[in-house]
Amino acid sequence: MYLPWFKRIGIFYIPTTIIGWLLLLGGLAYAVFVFVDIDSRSHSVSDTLINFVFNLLIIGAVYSLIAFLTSRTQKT
Amino acid sequence: MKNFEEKLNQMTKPEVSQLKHQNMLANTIAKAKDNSVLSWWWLSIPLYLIAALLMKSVYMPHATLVSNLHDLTSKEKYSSLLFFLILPILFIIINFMSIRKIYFLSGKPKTNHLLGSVWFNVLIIIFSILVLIIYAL
Repeated sequence: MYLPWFKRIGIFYIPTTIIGWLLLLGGLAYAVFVFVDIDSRSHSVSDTLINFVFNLLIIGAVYSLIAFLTSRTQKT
Repeated sequence: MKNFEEKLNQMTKPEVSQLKHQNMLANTIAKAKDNSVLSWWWLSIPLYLIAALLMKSVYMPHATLVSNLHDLTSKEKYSSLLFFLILPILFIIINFMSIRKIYFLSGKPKTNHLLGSVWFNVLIIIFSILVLIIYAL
């Protein structure tokens, strides 16, 4: 299966197609939504950041899993 | 006949600019790096949790990392099992297999040369073992 949606640079996956960019923008939009949601319920800045970083890591992990699976190149 | 000899002298040997083995090795190293990056993202979740619990144990009196971790595992039974046990074991196996494949493909090099290309995989294995040890306490 040839799905070069992403290209890995270091520990980050960079989109190379429109679908890849849509996935990245979707992930960023969800991260902003999560931040606003956590911020509305938290009592301090540290409370917001501690909970947000955890969610951000989960979003990053899911994004990297999708990117890993969709950046496979053809076997020669 | 003389002409033929001249032609033979001018002819060059067929050369393969790049061996298939080199391509295989390059692909294996790239795949190993992909595996280690994916492992790193997923391993960062339990590592972050451990760091957060460690900070909590520093600032909360009469609380330790182990007691905080036990509280977490009793509240989040399945997710903690996934992040602290299943994923680290999986990453140890995946990264070990990658290192083993590179080791054999690159002709069993010395440790220094091997570490140059697989240091990140080794780091992931070390962190995975660390997570497993902390979880087992």
